[in-house]
Amino acid sequence: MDLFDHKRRFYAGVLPARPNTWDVDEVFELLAELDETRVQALLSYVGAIWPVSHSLCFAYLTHGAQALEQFPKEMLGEWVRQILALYESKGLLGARQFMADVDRFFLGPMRGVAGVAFEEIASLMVHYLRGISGRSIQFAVAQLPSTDTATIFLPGFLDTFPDKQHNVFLYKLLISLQWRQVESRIYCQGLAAKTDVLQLLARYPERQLSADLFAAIRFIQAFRSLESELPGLARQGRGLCLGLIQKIVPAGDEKEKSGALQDLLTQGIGVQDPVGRRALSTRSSWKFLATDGGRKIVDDLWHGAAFDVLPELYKIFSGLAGSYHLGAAALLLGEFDFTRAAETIRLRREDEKEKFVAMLAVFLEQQRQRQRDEDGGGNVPGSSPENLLLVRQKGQKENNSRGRDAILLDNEGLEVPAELAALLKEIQDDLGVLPEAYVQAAAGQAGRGMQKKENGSLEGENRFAPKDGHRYDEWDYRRAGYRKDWCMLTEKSLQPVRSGFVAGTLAKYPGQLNKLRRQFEMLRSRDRFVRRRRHGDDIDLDAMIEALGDSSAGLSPSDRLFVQLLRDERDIAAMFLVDMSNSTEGWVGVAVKESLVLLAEALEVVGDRYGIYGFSGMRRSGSELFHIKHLDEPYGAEVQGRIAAIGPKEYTRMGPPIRHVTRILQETRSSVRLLVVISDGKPEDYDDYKGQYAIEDTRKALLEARGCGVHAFCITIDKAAHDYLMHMFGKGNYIFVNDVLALPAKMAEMYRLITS
Amino acid sequence: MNDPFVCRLEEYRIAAEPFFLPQAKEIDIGLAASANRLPLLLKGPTGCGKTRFMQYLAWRLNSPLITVSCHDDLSTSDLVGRYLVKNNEAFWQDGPLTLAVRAGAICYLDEIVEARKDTTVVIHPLTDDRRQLPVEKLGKLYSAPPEFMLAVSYNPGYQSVLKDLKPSTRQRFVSLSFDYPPPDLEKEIVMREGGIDERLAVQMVKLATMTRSLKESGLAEGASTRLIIQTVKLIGSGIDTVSACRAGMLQSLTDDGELLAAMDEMIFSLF
Repeated sequence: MDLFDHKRRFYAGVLPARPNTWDVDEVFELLAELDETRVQALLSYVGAIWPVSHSLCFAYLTHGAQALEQFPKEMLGEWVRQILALYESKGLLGARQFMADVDRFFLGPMRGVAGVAFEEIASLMVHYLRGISGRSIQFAVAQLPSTDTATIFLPGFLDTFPDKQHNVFLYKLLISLQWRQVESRIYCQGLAAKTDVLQLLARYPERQLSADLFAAIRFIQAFRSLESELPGLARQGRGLCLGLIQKIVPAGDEKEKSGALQDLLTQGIGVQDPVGRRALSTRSSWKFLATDGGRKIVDDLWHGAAFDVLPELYKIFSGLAGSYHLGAAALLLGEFDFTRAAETIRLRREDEKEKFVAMLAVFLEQQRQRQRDEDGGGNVPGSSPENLLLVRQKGQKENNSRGRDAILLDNEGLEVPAELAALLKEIQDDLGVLPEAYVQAAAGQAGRGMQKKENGSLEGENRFAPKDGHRYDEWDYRRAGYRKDWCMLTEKSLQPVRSGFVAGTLAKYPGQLNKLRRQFEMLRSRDRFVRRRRHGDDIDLDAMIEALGDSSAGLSPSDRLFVQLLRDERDIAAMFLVDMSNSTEGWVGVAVKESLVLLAEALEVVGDRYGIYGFSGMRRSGSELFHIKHLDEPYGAEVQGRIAAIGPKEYTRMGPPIRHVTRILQETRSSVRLLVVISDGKPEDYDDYKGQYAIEDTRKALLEARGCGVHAFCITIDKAAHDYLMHMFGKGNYIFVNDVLALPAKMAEMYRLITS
Repeated sequence: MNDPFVCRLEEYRIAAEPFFLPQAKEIDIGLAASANRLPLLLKGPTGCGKTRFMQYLAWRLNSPLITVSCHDDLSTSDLVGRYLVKNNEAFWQDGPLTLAVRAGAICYLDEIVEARKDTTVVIHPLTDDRRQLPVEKLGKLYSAPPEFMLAVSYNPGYQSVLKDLKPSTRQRFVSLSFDYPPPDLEKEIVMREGGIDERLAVQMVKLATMTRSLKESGLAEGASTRLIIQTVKLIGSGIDTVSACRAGMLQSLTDDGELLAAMDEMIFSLF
């Protein structure tokens, strides 16, 4: 092949795009140096990278020419995988940096260089943190470990220890320590004290010393709590911590202060006889910490509040000579950003309040409605908000977590739904009590809902002129009523594109595909012997004996005496609703498309009826549903072309497409109807379709679907998904995929689980 | 004593008090349901104590407990009974349901959703105020005595849309929702059942709780109380803690390599 053929192959791989000729020429000049097989190898990944980013693709070809001089072409696939993963997390710049230094970033780690990038272990640590904490805390990269209570910040790369295993363990330890900081509620205390923590620390003349001592106290307290929570980790981590503590060095000739800090931390982690005890014991600081008074201070450290212990400790340390460099020990102490944490807590509380008010208002409205129905529609005296009380029913045991909360409405006990009870418990755990204002707001909202419903003026005002399309109501939780014909949904068809996407995907996942086909074949061919048939393959011994018995007893025996091998009919209609909002641009969108290809291949094997639609749109009048595959449409080149054409559009207004697809499913005759929503984030639109309003409308649409016998499930790639998904889809009806690359496998697996 | 039914029935009577720690008011509700002749529906994840609760209730009521594990080949005859031939003579063999109705026992249909829907319809007349069991082949209509109780169980946690209870069946029962016990209670259960000290019991419960948090990450179900007890029994037989946790608990939960690795990290953090 010559240059012309290479270019032709390149252009075929990037269809339907037509890149600038001069850009292409520039890149292909570099490729001219390479031999034929390497060029072919390099070009074989163009189809996978081009849809993600055009610039990335050119950068890949540019750096790839040099990279292939450093490693064999067989390793190119792994290099590309890492490039795409980096592009997803760090953007074009991060990917370019990775490509530019092949030896450091790609070959180094492969040779077993000790350092470990957080990216490498992120998916493992997500499960780990979720397991130990029981909640969804995110990860983000920062220079030093810290947390804002919703996210744990960690260094992107650790090479503190000479072997990789220790560095991975250090990540685990740092994560666990930060988790203890979140659990200790230190940030909530800081918020409750209503004093600016920064100012508090700034009161000390040596500001850095006060901040370091504060961090040291918090580290010791966190480590001590790890000893009871995760004793194995604390035991193994002690030696590692000691190694890091010994990296504190004096910043000058005087060693007193650095030595004292080392001693404090060493004693703090429960090492009573440190390695250098003889040397340390000569120091005045060690002598002090060895006295009763010194021991008392160290003891106080893990019992008292950090703010209370700090002044006394500062007094001792400020009297010591010299200064220190923390070195790698800074990783253990971490950083404390109270301002950032306060903001996160404030936002979370606001969010919880909004959610609680909405849920309680709906619940109260339902109760009132029920009471009105019971009373024959008359006015219910005394159900004004003043008579509303929310109390926590104390079970026999204080910590009986199953003790349900109850609402006292006009002195009548009502059991709160589990979800509301869970939220109530969360708020009470956070704030100590449930603020009166929350309940009053909910009571007011529930009442307002009734009034608005009665006058219905809003609906009239905002109706829009009829157009071609489907009109759908939208749920407004604030007034516990529908906005009539509020949204307009238009069905559109995606123009199929001819590209190598589907073929590329099939070639990319050969093992996965085989496994899926086998698994789904097992679903299809679940043959079973059906007993008591009139005709069959063999005699049903049980039926035969029964017939003999019947006949001897003088009854007319049954003629159903055979067993027959029958194939289980899977009467399933599944609809896949794919989020095509602009946030899916990039690697997420590619993973979703790849998942659809794999799933379609698997579903063709099992023979279930399925449809695929994409949704997006902007504002209530511009909701769009893109047809990719109708329920009974054959899966062929057209559909494959449409899957390849899926691309980011506008916003995520979930209500109208869910309602529309539910309607389509209702018209089918299948006994099991399934709606699978594939999304990467919360529902959101350009207008006021945001936050709680959007979540409540989506939830209502899903409840309507459930009411029509449609089972709804969700697969999401949103890292902050856990809190709202349970509210929207219900417990157990969603799965969260952390690693985008795992999406194709997880999606098919979920479908298999819910339909077998 | 010649009556074969009476002899066999005695085998199903529970003599010693089964160990059961209530989580809420399930015992009171169970007894009240029995007093009011109402059927019971127990729902909850696998291994959380549903069957143990039924054993305890049967012991409290001093009633025999007849358990049927439902499966998709279970026919109506399997529940109601059939004629059999012996020495060229036909005799009627009661099925477990008929046996329980006639003797005033408790009939417990475990995992009712596994049975075919046409089979479970047979229990409908037993679950309303009629409390009757028609046996077509005998041409008889048995009325259940006051002591008879019907209980069914199922696990709503299985995500399969094909396995759900029909509303017409569901709405006949007094429902008791079971879940894994709160940590303190679960610790006591594990100590008692597994015969281990408190420290290890706390750690084991912690590990199980951690696995339960992974449900949204793709784990079908977290470790049950039964799995914890199974694991501590392995430890009691001299298997080291890490191997016992792997074999007795984690490997039974999933085949997913990544989740297993994450759970391995949890073991090493705890022990």
